[in-house]
Amino acid sequence: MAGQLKTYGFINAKIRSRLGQLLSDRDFSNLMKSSSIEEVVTALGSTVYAKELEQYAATGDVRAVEFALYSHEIETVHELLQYVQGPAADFVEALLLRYEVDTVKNALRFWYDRNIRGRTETEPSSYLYHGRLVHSIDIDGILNAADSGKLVDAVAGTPYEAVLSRNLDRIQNEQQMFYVELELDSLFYTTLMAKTAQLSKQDRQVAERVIQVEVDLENIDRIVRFVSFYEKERRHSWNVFLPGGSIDFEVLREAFQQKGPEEALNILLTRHYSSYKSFTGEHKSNPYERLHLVENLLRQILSDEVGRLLHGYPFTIGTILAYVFLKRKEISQLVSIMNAKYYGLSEERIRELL
Amino acid sequence: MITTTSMQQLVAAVLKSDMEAATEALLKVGVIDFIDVREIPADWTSRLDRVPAAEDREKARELRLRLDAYFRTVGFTPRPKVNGEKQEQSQDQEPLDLSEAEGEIDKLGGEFRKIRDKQKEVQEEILRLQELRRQMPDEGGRTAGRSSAKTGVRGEAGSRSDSGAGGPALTKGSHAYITVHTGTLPKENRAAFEKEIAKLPSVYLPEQGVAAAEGGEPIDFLITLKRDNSRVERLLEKYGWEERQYQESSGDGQNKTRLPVEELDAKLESLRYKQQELDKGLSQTVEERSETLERLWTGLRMRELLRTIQGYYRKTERTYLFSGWLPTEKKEEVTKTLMEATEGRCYLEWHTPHKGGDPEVPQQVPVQMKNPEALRPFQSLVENYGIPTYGSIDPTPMVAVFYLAMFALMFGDVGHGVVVLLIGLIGDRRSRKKGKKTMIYPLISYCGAAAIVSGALFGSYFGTALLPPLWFDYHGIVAGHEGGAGSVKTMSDILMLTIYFGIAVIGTGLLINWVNRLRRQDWFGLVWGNGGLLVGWIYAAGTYTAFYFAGHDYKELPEGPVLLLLLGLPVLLLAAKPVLEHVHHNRDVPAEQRHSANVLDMIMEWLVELLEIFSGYLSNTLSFMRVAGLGIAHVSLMMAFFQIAEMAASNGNFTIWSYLILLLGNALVIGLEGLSAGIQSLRLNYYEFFSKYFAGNGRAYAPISLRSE
Repeated sequence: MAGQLKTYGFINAKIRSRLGQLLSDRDFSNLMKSSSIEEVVTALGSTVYAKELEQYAATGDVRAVEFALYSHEIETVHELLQYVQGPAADFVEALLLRYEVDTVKNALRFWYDRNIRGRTETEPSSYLYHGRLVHSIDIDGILNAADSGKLVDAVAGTPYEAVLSRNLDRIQNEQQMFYVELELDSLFYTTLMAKTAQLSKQDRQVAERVIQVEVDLENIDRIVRFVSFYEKERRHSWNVFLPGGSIDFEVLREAFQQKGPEEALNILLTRHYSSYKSFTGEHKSNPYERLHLVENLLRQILSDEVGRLLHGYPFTIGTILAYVFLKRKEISQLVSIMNAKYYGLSEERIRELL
Repeated sequence: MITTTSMQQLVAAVLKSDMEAATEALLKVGVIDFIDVREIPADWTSRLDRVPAAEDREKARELRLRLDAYFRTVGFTPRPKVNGEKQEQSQDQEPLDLSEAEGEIDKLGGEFRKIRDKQKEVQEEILRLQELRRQMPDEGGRTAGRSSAKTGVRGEAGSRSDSGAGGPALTKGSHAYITVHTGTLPKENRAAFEKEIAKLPSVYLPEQGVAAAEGGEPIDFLITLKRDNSRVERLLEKYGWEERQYQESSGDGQNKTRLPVEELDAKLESLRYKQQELDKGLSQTVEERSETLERLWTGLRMRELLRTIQGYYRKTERTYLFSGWLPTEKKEEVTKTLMEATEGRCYLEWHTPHKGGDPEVPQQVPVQMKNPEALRPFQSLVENYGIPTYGSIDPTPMVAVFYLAMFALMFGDVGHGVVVLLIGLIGDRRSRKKGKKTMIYPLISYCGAAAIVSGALFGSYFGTALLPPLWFDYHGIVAGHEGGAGSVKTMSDILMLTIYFGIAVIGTGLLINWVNRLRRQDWFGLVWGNGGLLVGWIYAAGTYTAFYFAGHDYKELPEGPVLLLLLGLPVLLLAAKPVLEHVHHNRDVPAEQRHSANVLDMIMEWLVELLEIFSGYLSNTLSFMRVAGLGIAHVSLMMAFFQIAEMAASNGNFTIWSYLILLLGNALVIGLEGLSAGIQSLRLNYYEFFSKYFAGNGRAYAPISLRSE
């Protein structure tokens, strides 16, 4: 316990002081009620995001604000890394890997769109995070790679080199980014789980609980999406599941082999999340609505887990995990609201989407 | 200033036809804190009908908030016209048409959007050029903006460039990610080509170099990203580009054509300037029509507030009734305004709140504390804790004295005080400039000034004895050099000083409590209540006894009869409290709710209260020793930093390290001790002083006016 106190004493105090700066539900409600993006920007002018919001006045571009907020999120995790050492620092660094994986995926998509699909109108690459996260990656090298060899060169010496090499043929010949993206996601969760395993027993239990729900949420979402959009025969050999969840792989595979999303959902709800079966079965006949309900339910479970972390014993990795989760959720909601206001969506529509 | 402002309750009735005019007149005066007529404890109010909620209130509010957002974006503050000549103007205003107002705001929004779209276009161009700029080597061959680069991969461009005179050389061929084209383009095609190529990250420089052959004619340069090669090639072909070799450098670096880094930077700079200008265009849009928009804002705000006020009204078939509180001094102004607005067709009734007086006056009277501007920071400290009860003593002046005295005792240093004063003054100036006036900076300034005074009294100037102390040598005493010229010579004297101070603060608190109870005619509370006369008697007697005991070397207490009179009598009298409370209760409630007396309970209640008084007041008094504690810590820290600085000295002379240590030490003491002293002073005011008399259950006076939030 003394070790835990020493490891997390300072960062816990730091995070607790920052929790008060998080936007409240009321703040979000007010933002949703805003009549224009200008109103959202001025309302956020007195929050910790004031600097990021200045980007709108400077550029008139919502994507610039979005990128500034994304960078803010990354810097938040980066900052936490300074205050921890040992396995806890490794774990926080693994959390940073999420952003690196996202950046690599976006850079690859940019390259793929231009070089494989021949599209010339792409999103500006300046809105890709160019700072160093975990590994030394040449983002410009990916964006400007003349061929697949140069593409691999750009990530040489990083875990992405092997992933990319394995998938080059599929990217170029089958014109599929799908496999490499799946592998990159798996890389993040595998690394995260590996770093979790090195934590103390108490930390491990805390971290695993949250990661499991997050992975389950992602896996269920993938199953229902793929089952809905691809023929059973086509997806037969695909392995789309992320590691680290609480649902057994056999159950996931069985659900994945079902004909339709409703059957897949039934398998998942019968075999794993049985306590929620009755909740979903009776109320909604449309499988998509049911999926939405299940997703909301899992999100609620995730939020509850995070809430528990904050109200439980404070000197664990849980406080960091909870803070990162809440910050990510907050920024994601802000980005959604800003975009919604930019495109003139009503308050009700935004509530539906969030 | 001594007590809260005297208030009057207005109950008024106006004719239906005069209702709008009366409401507008009241809004312009802006001094009435409206209450629902049904809050008046009288039977007749239940027979009145509610005024239906006006639908246009929400619409007006929504539009006003939209307008506010645009104003805030450009930092424009609307000034509502409420007084004098301006008032006349607004009275003459035509009624506001909400749909027209909405149209006007939509128009403003549209113009904002247009400017933002233009900004976005410029931003797209900036992004394209930034991307190209990132791939260009800076002076010395480094590519810009590559913090995460692995040098092996990214150094290529730099390695191929040569830093010629003032920058990397422009060499045709393959840089890492950029392609340099040299050639010529038919002049008639240039404009169209430039338009097309600008859609890509590119720099086109016509007639920038000299061709190697054919008499050295001028040639154009085009720099693009390699990944766009196929698209660029198509464009070059389309517009008749002829590839040419340009004049190579002479080898001494004199005639080299450089990569247009500076030109690109200049272009980026000019685009950023354009962005700023566009942003300024928003302000111009508002300023150009500021009069119309201000009038619109005032109209919307007035509509919103008029409807809010009317929400408090009740009505009969032909009349509207309303009620509210206002400072007594405003009574005449309001009477005159209402008479004028209704041409005398109104009925006004005035009620004064006082205990046992008018039964039709609601219990809760709003409270206005009226202090001079100089005391506002301390008033905000009081309000932060709670609003005093109506008619009670306003503790703001006492809080100002006690807060500053405590801070000064804990943080006595002229130098530190000057720094704190400057922080306060600069902060205040900056916050005023931003239009966000806050009370914290004036408070910091006061604290700084207090520290300067006490610093001079203690002879402390950044921890050094620059001048002799005017009162006593705090540093000398803490350093163990007891004695000295002042009345305070030892550490015990410093501790005793703070105890005397604590007794004075608690005594003042008790005194205010007695005055408040007297004013409320709360006789029982005055004698037996929390902090009442009996408690004061016990506290005074306890203090006397303690000093007597200490004054006799902790061996002797006052004589028995004296002790009995001082402590025994009030303790016995306090035993009557539960009995009297029981009698009061049974007298005030119906027979079925009365209960019989339980002697054991009464004794227990008495004993617990005695315990609370003795332990509570003892700890409250000793709590003030923290003032000495923090003062000693302040001095000790400074002494410690001086000792560390001496350790870094060479041959007895301070080195640069010594001065650095002193600088950091002083900064640390100012930050840390300043914060501690500020918080502890507040804590002692809130818990030791306020707890003796302050209920904090009052309601702040909140009149509805155009200036209200």
